[in-house]
Amino acid sequence: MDDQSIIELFIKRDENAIKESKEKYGKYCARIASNILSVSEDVEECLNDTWISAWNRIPPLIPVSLKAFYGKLVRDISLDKYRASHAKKRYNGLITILDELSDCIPSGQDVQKSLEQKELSEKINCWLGSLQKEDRILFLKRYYYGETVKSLALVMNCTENQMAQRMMKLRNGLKSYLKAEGVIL
Amino acid sequence: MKKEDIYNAVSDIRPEYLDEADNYKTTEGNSVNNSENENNIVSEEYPIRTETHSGRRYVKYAVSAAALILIAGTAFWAANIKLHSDNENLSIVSVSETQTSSPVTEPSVSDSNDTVKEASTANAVSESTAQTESETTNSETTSETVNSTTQNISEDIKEQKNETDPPKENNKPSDNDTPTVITTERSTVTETVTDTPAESQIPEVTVTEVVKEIHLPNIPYDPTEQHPYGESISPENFSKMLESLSYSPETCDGYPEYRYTAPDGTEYYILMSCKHVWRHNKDQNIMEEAELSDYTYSLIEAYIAFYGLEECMWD
Repeated sequence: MDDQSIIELFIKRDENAIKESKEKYGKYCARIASNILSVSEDVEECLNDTWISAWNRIPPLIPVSLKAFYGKLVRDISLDKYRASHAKKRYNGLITILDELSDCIPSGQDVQKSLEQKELSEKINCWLGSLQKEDRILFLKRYYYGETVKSLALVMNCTENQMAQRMMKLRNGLKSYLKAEGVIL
Repeated sequence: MKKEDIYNAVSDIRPEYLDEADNYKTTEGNSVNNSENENNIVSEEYPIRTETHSGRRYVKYAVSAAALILIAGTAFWAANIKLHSDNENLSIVSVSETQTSSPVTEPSVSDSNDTVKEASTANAVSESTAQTESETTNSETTSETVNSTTQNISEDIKEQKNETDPPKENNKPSDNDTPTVITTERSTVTETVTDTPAESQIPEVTVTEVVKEIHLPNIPYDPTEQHPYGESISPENFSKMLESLSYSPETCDGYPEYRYTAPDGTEYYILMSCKHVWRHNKDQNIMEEAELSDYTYSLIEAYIAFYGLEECMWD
Protein backbone atom coordinates (compact mmCIF):
# COMPACT_ATOMS: atom_id res chain seq x y z
CA MET A 1 0.00 0.00 0.00
CA ASP A 2 1.31 3.43 -0.91
CA ASP A 3 1.72 6.32 1.54
CA GLN A 4 -1.29 8.20 0.22
CA SER A 5 -3.62 5.27 0.93
CA ILE A 6 -2.24 4.83 4.43
CA ILE A 7 -2.77 8.50 5.16
CA GLU A 8 -6.32 8.20 3.87
CA LEU A 9 -6.91 5.34 6.30
CA PHE A 10 -5.63 7.58 9.10
CA ILE A 11 -7.96 10.33 8.06
CA LYS A 12 -10.85 7.89 8.01
CA ARG A 13 -9.74 6.72 11.48
CA ASP A 14 -9.39 3.20 10.21
CA GLU A 15 -7.19 1.12 12.48
CA ASN A 16 -5.83 -0.68 9.46
CA ALA A 17 -3.70 2.42 9.00
CA ILE A 18 -1.51 1.30 11.89
CA LYS A 19 -1.42 -2.26 10.60
CA GLU A 20 -0.35 -1.09 7.14
CA SER A 21 2.17 1.28 8.67
CA LYS A 22 3.66 -1.52 10.70
CA GLU A 23 3.87 -3.69 7.64
CA LYS A 24 5.52 -1.04 5.51
CA TYR A 25 7.65 0.89 7.97
CA GLY A 26 7.95 -1.49 10.88
CA LYS A 27 11.46 -2.68 10.02
CA TYR A 28 12.55 0.79 9.05
CA CYS A 29 11.48 2.26 12.39
CA ALA A 30 12.82 -0.71 14.29
CA ARG A 31 16.24 -0.25 12.67
CA ILE A 32 16.43 3.40 13.70
CA ALA A 33 15.22 2.68 17.22
CA SER A 34 17.54 -0.26 17.74
CA ASN A 35 20.50 1.81 16.53
CA ILE A 36 19.75 4.36 19.23
CA LEU A 37 18.39 2.22 22.04
CA SER A 38 20.28 -0.89 22.93
CA VAL A 39 17.53 -2.61 24.90
CA SER A 40 15.14 -4.64 22.76
CA GLU A 41 12.20 -4.16 25.12
CA ASP A 42 12.64 -0.40 24.90
CA VAL A 43 12.79 -0.62 21.12
CA GLU A 44 9.50 -2.45 21.06
CA GLU A 45 7.96 0.06 23.44
CA CYS A 46 9.30 2.88 21.31
CA LEU A 47 7.67 1.42 18.20
CA ASN A 48 4.33 1.10 19.93
CA ASP A 49 4.58 4.72 21.00
CA THR A 50 5.39 5.66 17.41
CA TRP A 51 2.21 4.06 16.03
CA ILE A 52 0.10 5.69 18.74
CA SER A 53 1.75 9.04 18.14
CA ALA A 54 1.09 8.76 14.41
CA TRP A 55 -2.54 7.89 15.12
CA ASN A 56 -2.89 10.96 17.31
CA ARG A 57 -1.15 13.35 14.90
CA ILE A 58 -2.75 12.31 11.64
CA PRO A 59 -5.00 14.22 11.19
CA PRO A 60 -4.72 17.20 11.54
CA LEU A 61 -1.11 16.72 10.34
CA ILE A 62 -0.80 15.45 6.80
CA PRO A 63 2.82 14.38 6.25
CA VAL A 64 4.38 14.93 2.85
CA SER A 65 6.58 11.88 3.30
CA LEU A 66 5.32 9.18 5.59
CA LYS A 67 8.80 7.67 5.76
CA ALA A 68 10.38 10.90 6.98
CA PHE A 69 7.48 11.40 9.33
CA TYR A 70 7.93 7.99 10.94
CA GLY A 71 11.68 8.46 11.05
CA LYS A 72 11.35 11.72 12.91
CA LEU A 73 8.76 10.22 15.26
CA VAL A 74 10.94 7.27 16.10
CA ARG A 75 13.96 9.47 16.69
CA ASP A 76 12.01 11.82 18.94
CA ILE A 77 10.50 8.99 20.95
CA SER A 78 13.88 7.31 21.20
CA LEU A 79 15.28 10.57 22.54
CA ASP A 80 12.50 10.67 25.11
CA LYS A 81 13.36 7.13 26.10
CA TYR A 82 16.94 8.15 26.36
CA ARG A 83 16.07 11.07 28.56
CA ALA A 84 13.99 8.82 30.78
CA SER A 85 16.78 6.35 31.16
CA HIS A 86 19.69 8.75 30.96
CA ALA A 87 20.56 8.29 34.61
CA LYS A 88 21.07 4.61 33.99
CA LYS A 89 23.64 5.26 31.26
CA ARG A 90 22.25 2.44 29.20
CA TYR A 91 22.24 3.93 25.71
CA ASN A 92 25.84 4.25 24.74
CA GLY A 93 24.96 4.46 21.05
CA LEU A 94 22.96 7.62 21.42
CA ILE A 95 25.43 9.18 23.82
CA THR A 96 28.16 8.71 21.24
CA ILE A 97 26.05 10.24 18.50
CA LEU A 98 25.19 13.23 20.64
CA ASP A 99 28.79 13.70 21.64
CA GLU A 100 29.88 13.67 18.06
CA LEU A 101 27.13 16.08 17.01
CA SER A 102 28.21 18.53 19.67
CA ASP A 103 31.35 19.05 17.58
CA CYS A 104 29.15 20.74 15.01
CA ILE A 105 28.16 23.55 17.36
CA PRO A 106 30.50 26.50 16.94
CA SER A 107 30.36 27.66 20.54
CA GLY A 108 28.93 26.59 23.82
CA GLN A 109 25.92 28.90 23.90
CA ASP A 110 22.30 27.76 23.87
CA VAL A 111 20.98 27.06 20.38
CA GLN A 112 17.42 28.05 20.98
CA LYS A 113 18.34 31.56 22.01
CA SER A 114 19.92 32.55 18.73
CA LEU A 115 18.42 30.29 16.11
CA GLU A 116 15.15 28.52 15.70
CA GLN A 117 15.10 24.79 15.30
CA LYS A 118 13.66 25.02 11.83
CA GLU A 119 16.27 27.46 10.65
CA LEU A 120 18.99 25.21 11.88
CA SER A 121 17.44 22.31 10.04
CA GLU A 122 17.30 24.34 6.85
CA LYS A 123 20.96 25.23 7.18
CA ILE A 124 21.84 21.60 7.67
CA ASN A 125 19.74 20.66 4.67
CA CYS A 126 21.55 23.23 2.56
CA TRP A 127 24.86 21.97 3.77
CA LEU A 128 23.87 18.42 2.97
CA GLY A 129 22.86 19.53 -0.54
CA SER A 130 26.34 20.93 -1.06
CA LEU A 131 27.98 17.67 -0.16
CA GLN A 132 28.88 14.86 -2.48
CA LYS A 133 26.32 12.09 -2.60
CA GLU A 134 28.49 9.62 -0.72
CA ASP A 135 29.31 12.04 2.07
CA ARG A 136 25.68 13.01 2.43
CA ILE A 137 24.65 9.39 2.66
CA LEU A 138 27.34 8.70 5.22
CA PHE A 139 26.29 11.64 7.37
CA LEU A 140 22.63 10.63 7.34
CA LYS A 141 23.34 6.96 7.90
CA ARG A 142 25.39 7.86 10.92
CA TYR A 143 23.42 10.74 12.45
CA TYR A 144 19.91 10.06 11.25
CA TYR A 145 19.69 6.28 11.08
CA GLY A 146 22.24 5.80 13.85
CA GLU A 147 24.34 3.17 12.11
CA THR A 148 27.67 2.37 13.67
CA VAL A 149 30.98 3.48 12.25
CA LYS A 150 31.96 -0.16 11.89
CA SER A 151 28.99 -1.02 9.70
CA LEU A 152 29.58 2.09 7.61
CA ALA A 153 33.20 1.12 7.15
CA LEU A 154 32.08 -2.29 5.98
CA VAL A 155 29.68 -0.79 3.46
CA MET A 156 32.25 1.68 2.15
CA ASN A 157 35.00 -0.94 2.15
CA CYS A 158 37.43 0.90 4.38
CA THR A 159 38.77 0.53 7.87
CA GLU A 160 36.97 1.75 10.94
CA ASN A 161 39.63 4.36 11.61
CA GLN A 162 39.39 5.70 8.10
CA MET A 163 35.63 5.97 8.45
CA ALA A 164 35.97 7.74 11.80
CA GLN A 165 38.37 10.22 10.20
CA ARG A 166 35.96 10.79 7.37
CA MET A 167 33.09 11.41 9.78
CA MET A 168 35.21 13.87 11.73
CA LYS A 169 35.94 15.80 8.53
CA LEU A 170 32.21 15.94 7.82
CA ARG A 171 31.46 17.27 11.28
CA ASN A 172 34.18 19.89 10.98
CA GLY A 173 32.78 20.81 7.58
CA LEU A 174 29.33 21.32 9.07
CA LYS A 175 30.80 23.38 11.87
CA SER A 176 32.65 25.62 9.42
CA TYR A 177 29.52 25.95 7.29
CA LEU A 178 27.32 26.96 10.22
CA LYS A 179 29.95 29.42 11.32
CA ALA A 180 30.16 30.92 7.84
CA GLU A 181 26.36 31.16 7.70
CA GLY A 182 26.41 33.30 10.77
CA VAL A 183 25.12 30.79 13.22
CA ILE A 184 26.62 32.36 16.29
CA LEU A 185 25.55 30.29 19.19
CA MET B 1 20.66 20.37 25.42
CA LYS B 2 22.80 21.65 22.59
CA LYS B 3 23.52 18.18 21.42
CA GLU B 4 19.83 17.35 21.42
CA ASP B 5 19.02 20.45 19.41
CA ILE B 6 21.37 19.36 16.70
CA TYR B 7 19.86 15.92 16.97
CA ASN B 8 16.38 17.35 16.48
CA ALA B 9 17.56 19.52 13.62
CA VAL B 10 18.94 16.46 11.87
CA SER B 11 15.51 14.84 12.31
CA ASP B 12 14.03 17.44 9.92
CA ILE B 13 16.16 16.41 6.99
CA ARG B 14 14.54 16.46 3.57
CA PRO B 15 12.81 13.19 2.73
CA GLU B 16 14.67 12.81 -0.56
CA TYR B 17 17.96 12.76 1.30
CA LEU B 18 16.60 10.18 3.69
CA ASP B 19 15.40 7.98 0.85
CA GLU B 20 18.75 8.39 -0.83
CA ALA B 21 20.59 7.29 2.27
CA ASP B 22 18.16 4.51 3.09
CA ASN B 23 18.23 3.05 -0.41
CA TYR B 24 21.95 3.43 -0.84
CA LYS B 25 22.71 -0.24 -0.48
CA THR B 26 20.07 -1.44 -2.90
CA THR B 27 20.85 1.12 -5.59
CA GLU B 28 24.54 0.36 -5.40
CA GLY B 29 23.76 -3.32 -5.50
CA ASN B 30 21.79 -2.86 -8.74
CA SER B 31 24.54 -0.82 -10.27
CA VAL B 32 26.95 -3.63 -9.65
CA ASN B 33 25.20 -5.78 -12.16
CA ASN B 34 24.30 -3.17 -14.76
CA SER B 35 26.94 -0.47 -14.96
CA GLU B 36 30.68 -0.06 -14.70
CA ASN B 37 31.03 3.12 -12.70
CA GLU B 38 33.15 3.82 -9.64
CA ASN B 39 30.59 2.34 -7.33
CA ASN B 40 30.86 -0.85 -9.27
CA ILE B 41 34.53 -1.01 -8.38
CA VAL B 42 33.69 -0.52 -4.73
CA SER B 43 31.07 -3.20 -4.75
CA GLU B 44 33.37 -5.53 -6.67
CA GLU B 45 35.93 -5.18 -3.98
CA TYR B 46 33.46 -6.33 -1.42
CA PRO B 47 33.89 -10.06 -2.10
CA ILE B 48 37.65 -9.59 -1.93
CA ARG B 49 37.19 -8.20 1.55
CA THR B 50 35.32 -11.33 2.56
CA GLU B 51 38.24 -13.37 1.27
CA THR B 52 40.61 -11.42 3.45
CA HIS B 53 38.33 -12.22 6.35
CA SER B 54 38.59 -15.90 5.58
CA GLY B 55 42.36 -15.50 5.33
CA ARG B 56 42.40 -13.99 8.77
CA ARG B 57 40.42 -16.93 9.98
CA TYR B 58 43.04 -19.29 8.55
CA VAL B 59 45.74 -17.24 10.24
CA LYS B 60 43.90 -17.79 13.51
CA TYR B 61 43.80 -21.51 12.85
CA ALA B 62 47.48 -21.51 12.02
CA VAL B 63 48.31 -19.59 15.18
CA SER B 64 46.25 -21.95 17.33
CA ALA B 65 47.86 -24.96 15.67
CA ALA B 66 51.30 -23.50 16.26
CA ALA B 67 50.41 -22.90 19.89
CA LEU B 68 49.27 -26.49 20.25
CA ILE B 69 52.49 -27.76 18.71
CA LEU B 70 54.47 -25.54 21.04
CA ILE B 71 52.59 -26.86 24.06
CA ALA B 72 53.08 -30.43 22.92
CA GLY B 73 56.78 -29.80 22.40
CA THR B 74 57.10 -28.24 25.82
CA ALA B 75 55.30 -31.17 27.40
CA PHE B 76 57.58 -33.60 25.60
CA TRP B 77 60.64 -31.65 26.73
CA ALA B 78 59.36 -31.59 30.30
CA ALA B 79 58.73 -35.32 30.17
CA ASN B 80 62.29 -35.86 28.99
CA ILE B 81 63.64 -33.76 31.82
CA LYS B 82 61.48 -35.63 34.29
CA LEU B 83 62.77 -38.92 32.91
CA HIS B 84 66.35 -37.80 33.44
CA SER B 85 65.59 -36.46 36.87
CA ASP B 86 64.00 -39.80 37.77
CA ASN B 87 67.21 -41.55 36.80
CA GLU B 88 69.17 -39.15 38.96
CA ASN B 89 66.76 -39.70 41.82
CA LEU B 90 67.34 -43.42 41.53
CA SER B 91 71.05 -42.93 42.05
CA ILE B 92 70.40 -40.57 44.94
CA VAL B 93 68.11 -43.08 46.56
CA SER B 94 70.62 -45.89 46.25
CA VAL B 95 73.39 -43.73 47.66
CA SER B 96 71.26 -42.60 50.55
CA GLU B 97 70.32 -46.16 51.32
CA THR B 98 73.92 -47.24 51.47
CA GLN B 99 74.86 -44.26 53.57
CA THR B 100 72.19 -44.95 56.13
CA SER B 101 73.77 -48.26 56.84
CA SER B 102 76.78 -46.68 58.51
CA PRO B 103 75.04 -44.85 61.37
CA VAL B 104 73.03 -47.94 62.11
CA THR B 105 76.13 -50.01 62.40
CA GLU B 106 77.87 -47.68 64.78
CA PRO B 107 75.70 -48.41 67.80
CA SER B 108 75.91 -52.08 67.05
CA VAL B 109 79.67 -51.81 67.13
CA SER B 110 79.48 -49.96 70.42
CA ASP B 111 77.21 -52.67 71.72
CA SER B 112 79.75 -55.26 70.80
CA ASN B 113 82.57 -53.70 72.77
CA ASP B 114 82.73 -56.49 75.21
CA THR B 115 86.11 -57.71 76.28
CA VAL B 116 85.07 -61.30 75.93
CA LYS B 117 84.54 -60.94 72.20
CA GLU B 118 87.69 -59.13 71.14
CA ALA B 119 89.28 -62.22 69.72
CA SER B 120 86.26 -63.04 67.71
CA THR B 121 86.05 -59.47 66.40
CA ALA B 122 89.57 -59.73 65.06
CA ASN B 123 88.60 -62.80 63.12
CA ALA B 124 85.47 -61.15 61.95
CA VAL B 125 87.38 -58.12 60.72
CA SER B 126 89.66 -60.28 58.72
CA GLU B 127 86.71 -62.07 57.20
CA SER B 128 84.89 -58.87 56.39
CA THR B 129 87.91 -57.30 54.74
CA ALA B 130 88.29 -60.41 52.68
CA GLN B 131 84.68 -60.09 51.65
CA THR B 132 85.04 -56.44 50.77
CA GLU B 133 88.12 -57.11 48.71
CA SER B 134 86.30 -59.77 46.82
CA GLU B 135 83.51 -57.32 46.20
CA THR B 136 85.79 -54.63 44.90
CA THR B 137 87.38 -57.04 42.47
CA ASN B 138 84.03 -57.37 40.76
CA SER B 139 84.30 -54.49 38.38
CA GLU B 140 80.87 -55.01 36.83
CA THR B 141 78.34 -54.83 39.55
CA THR B 142 74.72 -54.56 38.58
CA SER B 143 71.94 -52.57 40.06
CA GLU B 144 70.31 -55.80 41.08
CA THR B 145 73.30 -56.58 43.22
CA VAL B 146 73.05 -53.15 44.73
CA ASN B 147 69.45 -53.73 45.54
CA SER B 148 70.27 -57.12 46.98
CA THR B 149 73.02 -55.63 49.12
CA THR B 150 70.73 -52.90 50.36
CA GLN B 151 68.10 -55.51 51.10
CA ASN B 152 70.70 -57.57 52.87
CA ILE B 153 71.73 -54.55 54.85
CA SER B 154 68.17 -53.86 55.87
CA GLU B 155 67.70 -57.50 56.73
CA ASP B 156 70.92 -57.40 58.66
CA ILE B 157 69.69 -54.41 60.55
CA LYS B 158 66.57 -56.29 61.47
CA GLU B 159 68.62 -59.25 62.46
CA GLN B 160 70.89 -57.03 64.49
CA LYS B 161 67.93 -55.68 66.33
CA ASN B 162 66.70 -59.16 66.95
CA GLU B 163 70.08 -60.48 67.77
CA THR B 164 71.47 -57.63 69.83
CA ASP B 165 68.62 -57.94 72.27
CA PRO B 166 69.13 -61.58 73.18
CA PRO B 167 72.77 -61.16 74.23
CA LYS B 168 71.73 -58.72 76.90
CA GLU B 169 69.29 -61.28 78.11
CA ASN B 170 71.86 -64.01 77.73
CA ASN B 171 74.46 -62.06 79.63
CA LYS B 172 72.26 -61.63 82.59
CA PRO B 173 71.69 -65.31 83.36
CA SER B 174 74.41 -67.72 84.25
CA ASP B 175 77.21 -68.80 81.88
CA ASN B 176 75.74 -72.18 81.22
CA ASP B 177 75.02 -71.41 77.61
CA THR B 178 78.35 -69.83 76.71
CA PRO B 179 78.86 -71.69 73.40
CA THR B 180 75.64 -70.38 71.97
CA VAL B 181 76.43 -66.93 73.21
CA ILE B 182 79.74 -66.93 71.44
CA THR B 183 78.24 -67.95 68.17
CA THR B 184 75.70 -65.22 68.27
CA GLU B 185 78.33 -62.66 69.14
CA ARG B 186 80.40 -63.78 66.21
CA SER B 187 77.56 -63.39 63.82
CA THR B 188 76.72 -59.93 65.04
CA VAL B 189 80.28 -58.74 64.92
CA THR B 190 80.93 -59.99 61.45
CA GLU B 191 77.85 -58.28 60.15
CA THR B 192 78.62 -55.01 61.82
CA VAL B 193 82.29 -54.81 61.02
CA THR B 194 81.59 -55.23 57.33
CA ASP B 195 79.98 -51.82 57.50
CA THR B 196 82.90 -50.17 59.31
CA PRO B 197 85.38 -47.77 57.60
CA ALA B 198 86.44 -50.27 54.97
CA GLU B 199 82.82 -50.76 53.96
CA SER B 200 81.94 -47.05 53.94
CA GLN B 201 84.07 -46.48 50.86
CA ILE B 202 82.71 -49.37 48.87
CA PRO B 203 79.09 -48.32 48.41
CA GLU B 204 80.02 -44.90 47.10
CA VAL B 205 82.23 -46.41 44.41
CA THR B 206 79.96 -49.23 43.41
CA VAL B 207 76.78 -47.16 43.36
CA THR B 208 78.19 -44.51 41.10
CA GLU B 209 79.39 -47.15 38.69
CA VAL B 210 76.11 -49.00 38.69
CA VAL B 211 73.99 -45.94 38.07
CA LYS B 212 76.14 -44.72 35.23
CA GLU B 213 75.71 -47.98 33.37
CA ILE B 214 72.77 -48.74 31.14
CA HIS B 215 70.90 -52.00 31.29
CA LEU B 216 68.41 -52.75 28.64
CA PRO B 217 66.51 -55.91 29.46
CA ASN B 218 64.27 -55.54 26.43
CA ILE B 219 67.07 -55.32 23.94
CA PRO B 220 66.96 -58.15 21.43
CA TYR B 221 70.03 -59.86 22.72
CA ASP B 222 71.66 -62.53 20.65
CA PRO B 223 73.49 -64.94 22.98
CA THR B 224 75.57 -66.32 20.12
CA GLU B 225 76.95 -62.88 19.45
CA GLN B 226 80.18 -62.02 21.20
CA HIS B 227 80.22 -58.64 22.93
CA PRO B 228 83.66 -57.62 24.11
CA TYR B 229 82.15 -54.60 25.77
CA GLY B 230 79.76 -56.63 27.90
CA GLU B 231 76.01 -56.34 28.15
CA SER B 232 75.98 -52.78 29.31
CA ILE B 233 77.34 -49.67 27.73
CA SER B 234 79.21 -46.77 29.25
CA PRO B 235 81.53 -44.05 28.01
CA GLU B 236 84.44 -46.32 28.74
CA ASN B 237 83.37 -49.17 26.54
CA PHE B 238 81.40 -47.25 23.95
CA SER B 239 84.47 -46.90 21.78
CA LYS B 240 85.14 -50.61 22.20
CA MET B 241 81.68 -51.37 20.97
CA LEU B 242 82.13 -49.18 17.91
CA GLU B 243 85.54 -50.65 17.30
CA SER B 244 84.20 -54.20 17.49
CA LEU B 245 81.85 -53.68 14.55
CA SER B 246 82.86 -55.17 11.24
CA TYR B 247 83.64 -52.38 8.83
CA SER B 248 83.82 -52.50 5.08
CA PRO B 249 85.44 -49.83 2.91
CA GLU B 250 82.20 -48.94 1.12
CA THR B 251 79.70 -46.46 2.48
CA CYS B 252 76.04 -46.02 1.71
CA ASP B 253 74.26 -42.76 0.97
CA GLY B 254 73.06 -40.80 3.91
CA TYR B 255 73.84 -38.03 6.31
CA PRO B 256 75.44 -38.87 9.64
CA GLU B 257 73.49 -37.60 12.58
CA TYR B 258 76.05 -37.99 15.36
CA ARG B 259 79.81 -37.87 15.60
CA TYR B 260 81.92 -39.62 18.19
CA THR B 261 85.64 -39.31 18.66
CA ALA B 262 87.18 -42.29 20.38
CA PRO B 263 89.97 -41.83 22.96
CA ASP B 264 92.48 -43.00 20.35
CA GLY B 265 91.33 -40.21 18.01
CA THR B 266 89.31 -42.35 15.62
CA GLU B 267 86.23 -40.57 14.39
CA TYR B 268 82.94 -42.38 14.09
CA TYR B 269 79.87 -41.06 12.31
CA ILE B 270 76.59 -42.61 13.34
CA LEU B 271 73.62 -42.80 11.01
CA MET B 272 70.73 -43.80 13.19
CA SER B 273 68.19 -43.42 10.40
CA CYS B 274 69.72 -46.19 8.29
CA LYS B 275 71.42 -48.11 11.13
CA HIS B 276 74.98 -47.61 9.95
CA VAL B 277 78.22 -46.38 11.43
CA TRP B 278 81.02 -44.83 9.46
CA ARG B 279 84.57 -44.91 10.66
CA HIS B 280 87.24 -42.62 9.34
CA ASN B 281 90.29 -44.66 8.61
CA LYS B 282 93.13 -42.24 9.12
CA ASP B 283 95.77 -44.47 7.64
CA GLN B 284 94.09 -44.92 4.30
CA ASN B 285 92.03 -41.73 4.61
CA ILE B 286 88.81 -43.48 3.64
CA MET B 287 85.45 -43.97 5.20
CA GLU B 288 84.45 -47.42 6.31
CA GLU B 289 80.98 -48.55 7.08
CA ALA B 290 79.47 -51.04 9.47
CA GLU B 291 75.92 -52.14 9.79
CA LEU B 292 74.31 -52.02 13.21
CA SER B 293 72.46 -54.99 14.58
CA ASP B 294 69.28 -54.41 16.51
CA TYR B 295 71.16 -54.93 19.73
CA THR B 296 73.95 -52.49 19.01
CA TYR B 297 71.46 -50.03 17.59
CA SER B 298 69.51 -50.16 20.83
CA LEU B 299 72.68 -49.71 22.83
CA ILE B 300 73.68 -46.67 20.84
CA GLU B 301 70.18 -45.30 21.08
CA ALA B 302 70.26 -45.69 24.84
CA TYR B 303 73.73 -44.21 25.03
CA ILE B 304 72.58 -41.14 23.09
CA ALA B 305 69.56 -40.79 25.30
CA PHE B 306 71.55 -41.06 28.49
CA TYR B 307 74.94 -39.57 27.77
CA GLY B 308 74.24 -37.70 24.55
CA LEU B 309 76.40 -37.47 21.49
CA GLU B 310 77.71 -34.58 19.47
CA GLU B 311 75.33 -33.86 16.63
CA CYS B 312 76.98 -33.94 13.28
CA MET B 313 76.64 -31.05 10.82
CA TRP B 314 77.51 -32.86 7.64
CA ASP B 315 78.59 -30.74 4.70
